[in-house]
Amino acid sequence: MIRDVTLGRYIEGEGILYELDPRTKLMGLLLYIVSLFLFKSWLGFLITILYFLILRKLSNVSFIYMVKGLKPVFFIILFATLLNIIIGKSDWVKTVFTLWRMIGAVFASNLLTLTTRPREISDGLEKGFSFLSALHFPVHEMATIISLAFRFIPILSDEAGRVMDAQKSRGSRIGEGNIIEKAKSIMPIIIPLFVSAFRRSDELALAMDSRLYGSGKRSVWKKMEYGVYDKYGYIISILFLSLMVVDRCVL
Amino acid sequence: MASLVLDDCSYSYSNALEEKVLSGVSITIDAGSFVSVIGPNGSGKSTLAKLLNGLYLPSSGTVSVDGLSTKEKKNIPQIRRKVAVLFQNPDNQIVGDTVEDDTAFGPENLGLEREEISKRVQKSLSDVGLLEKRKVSPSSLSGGEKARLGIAGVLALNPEVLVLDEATAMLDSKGRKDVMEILYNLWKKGKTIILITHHPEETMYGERIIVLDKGKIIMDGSTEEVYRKSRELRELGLALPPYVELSLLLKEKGVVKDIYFSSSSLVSALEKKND
Repeated sequence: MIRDVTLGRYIEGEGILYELDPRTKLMGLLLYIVSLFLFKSWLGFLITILYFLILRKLSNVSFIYMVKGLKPVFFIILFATLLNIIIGKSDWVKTVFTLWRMIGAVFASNLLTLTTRPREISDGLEKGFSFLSALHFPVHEMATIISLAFRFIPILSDEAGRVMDAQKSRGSRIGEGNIIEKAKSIMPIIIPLFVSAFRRSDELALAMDSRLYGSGKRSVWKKMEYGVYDKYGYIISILFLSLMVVDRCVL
Repeated sequence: MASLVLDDCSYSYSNALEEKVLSGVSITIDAGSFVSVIGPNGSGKSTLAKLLNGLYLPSSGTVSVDGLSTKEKKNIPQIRRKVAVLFQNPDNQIVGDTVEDDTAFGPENLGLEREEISKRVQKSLSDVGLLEKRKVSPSSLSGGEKARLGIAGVLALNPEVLVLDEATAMLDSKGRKDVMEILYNLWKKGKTIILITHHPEETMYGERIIVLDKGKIIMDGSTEEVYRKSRELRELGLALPPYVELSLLLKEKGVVKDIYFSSSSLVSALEKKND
């Protein structure tokens, strides 16, 4: 399951979604997630699914690969859905809508990271939130942290797979037994993974220091520029949000 | 050109620990030299590498690069421009999404103009033979290529000294050979190379070997001088280059009269004997 993490994995590919500026994609993601929490009717529900399917088609990312990416968050989604039924006393329609809202948000976030390099995401965030620099908010540092975190998700997920194999080969019964035994069996994976993550982060920090990160004012080699599709990206995202507002208020 | 001087340097990871990782180390490394540092695990080699460009500061003693002490905070950026350190695992040092983006990371930190960054990226990637892979993701590179990317990343800073802390440890023999040839060429072009390694054959590319054990320098001399002390090296658990090992064995058996420091000289000696 750990090996199936798709968040933070970039897949080399071609498609309109790849050509969009990261700022357009970040804004699009934000508006899509807001839209997911706005719709109320079956029509709105179906439109959000259709919209996602069109975006998926524009990205050329395999749908099966995206569904596999749900595995690591399956229990969280299941738990949230059960809470919604038991505590929220939702009927089946609301439960289906809630389920799709969570799945749709995960799918859309994955679509962003699968088609955008971590550095582009961080550059997009940096540019998008650059106005906060005036308030002495460390925008660049935050963007770098996010970029590195994204970069290390697949590395640590692969590492977790290796640790799991190593522990299994030493007789550890990972993922077997009841839910408590399953939870307990994760400990031999978590501890070496944390140790490894700290070791990696220490070496990364030293390497960045050695390459003069933070020693003065940085320059930017590749400047972000909007392309031909970005204008349409913004227009479609805003229109989609407007449609969901109508769905919530009128339908 | 940068020369490095360590004067009576000691280092311990915690003040509470009495045991020093490095103790009273004094070394002078001249500009343009190729020095290998060998020693058993835990002998202080990696700590030494981190002292050289101010990543660690000595607990006592001084480290200076061209007269600039690492203890002065204002000297650190200047020192790091002169002395670049490369670590063992290239995966932990890559910050860019593409080969060229990663190479540009250092020049961007220097605040250089875009044209200058482009020039440095082009030259560094060309020096390590990765120019044709400039657009690909580092994750798609082989181990040897990742190590070469690491070298390109520090070369883009245009340093005078390259310190490699077991940078070839995770590579196969071809990957190691490629990296060593790049280092050799850089040395011939005037860069100072400090190579920390567990592979004795890599030290043969250089001209001087420093042997560390338990935080102290126990040998410091030319490659030949050090490998002639084979008994002491074996006692430390250090291996000798294969042809040195073979010539020692042949000398013991009376087949040859001396120790040979290259495979070709050993072969010549054997041919002469047969004649």
